[in-house]
Amino acid sequence: MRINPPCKKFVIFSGGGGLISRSQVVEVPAGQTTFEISEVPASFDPNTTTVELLDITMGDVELSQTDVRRPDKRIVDSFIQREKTASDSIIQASTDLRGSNRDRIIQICESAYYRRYEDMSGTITVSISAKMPSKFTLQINYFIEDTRIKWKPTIHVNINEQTKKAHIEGYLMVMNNSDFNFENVELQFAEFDLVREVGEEGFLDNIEEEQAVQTEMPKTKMLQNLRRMKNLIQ
Amino acid sequence: MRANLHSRENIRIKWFDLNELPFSLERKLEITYSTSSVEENVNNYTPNFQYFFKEVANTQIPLSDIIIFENNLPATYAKTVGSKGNKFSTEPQSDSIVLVTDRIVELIKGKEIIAREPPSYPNPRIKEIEVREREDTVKRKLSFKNDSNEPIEHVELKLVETKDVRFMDSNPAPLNKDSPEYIWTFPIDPEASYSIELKFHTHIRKTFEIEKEPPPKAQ
Repeated sequence: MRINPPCKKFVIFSGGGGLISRSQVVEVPAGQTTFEISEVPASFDPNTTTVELLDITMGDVELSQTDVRRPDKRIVDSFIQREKTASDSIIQASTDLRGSNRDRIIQICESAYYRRYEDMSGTITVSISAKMPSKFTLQINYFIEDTRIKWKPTIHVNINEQTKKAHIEGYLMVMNNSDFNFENVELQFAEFDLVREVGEEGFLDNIEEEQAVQTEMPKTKMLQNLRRMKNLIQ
Repeated sequence: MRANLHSRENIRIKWFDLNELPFSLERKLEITYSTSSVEENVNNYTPNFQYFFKEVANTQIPLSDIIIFENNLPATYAKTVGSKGNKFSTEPQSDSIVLVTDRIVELIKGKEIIAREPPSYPNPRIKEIEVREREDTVKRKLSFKNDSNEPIEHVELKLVETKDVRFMDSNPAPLNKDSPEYIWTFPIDPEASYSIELKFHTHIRKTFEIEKEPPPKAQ
């Protein structure tokens, strides 16, 4: 059975990536049931993926197996390269540059141009064993290693020299340059000590520069870059 | 906090809002002299300034960019390393408003004492070591000019003496004496200057290796 549990909580790391919690109430008959979780980014970390069965209101169930799989990077990269070439050809061959399809063409080409391995889908398959028909909440937690999703704080201070008092406003800039949408999600922000600093990609003022770095971002191993969590903003 | 985070979008979320927080602007200059720099005709320094904010309770501020507005116009772009307890500060930045000039006023050179001693370790090339020592008295004047139309309420000068350049006296006297650190604090009126005269005692020691004379060549 293919299910798409909504993202309930997303702890975004200052260095990029984060921890995603998705959950959904499911009902299973007696016996073995397999759930395939859709819309899992290929940037998820298979080693730290966990599955929990919560709020078992009726029945007796247990988790029998979790299968995780990521697409082959070399093949995907090859495909993405071909898509980029194709998008260039679409633009060059298009005769509808001022017509009604213009926005659609730009959307397709832009999507192909920015696409990276992390925008592909991985697979998490959960096998549940039930002794009787059961109902429970299936929760999946996984880290994603994607430097294009990150946050950065900015503080605005308005000072009054006469009264020697300040008005301070804190803002969080959250960037999502991936292909994935996170709707009505509980966001938390974790500040990590980073082994190496992550660049300013995505926060640039120059739109051309910003778009260029999205396609040239180094393929880092985010979890290796994180050392110790310093702070969690809820 | 709940939010929609759509693909290819940056969102800005209001995180906190704190009003009526006390702050202070501190301008500091820390100097130390070597036997060479204390006898230079002119030394130029650039002081640093930092904003300090207090009573930031219940808000943990991480490493952040800060934009400081004065009269609703951006005045300073800075960074903070984050809050410590209930306070945080900007990182030190160069202050272009206070111009500091440090000029020599008087140099009284002491009598040079020359002594020779054997090398500390056997060396077939070195005959002996010549040591030249001298004790000088140096008077210098530091001038702090306020290059703005606004009064500066607080500037701090910290002098750190070294083993070869010892602080003797000053006019005005330091507010705080805790050798090797001496601290002066003072205000500066708009477009005005404030001067401090410093007197030092220096100990200069130079060593030279005296080589053995080469053996006479065989006839």
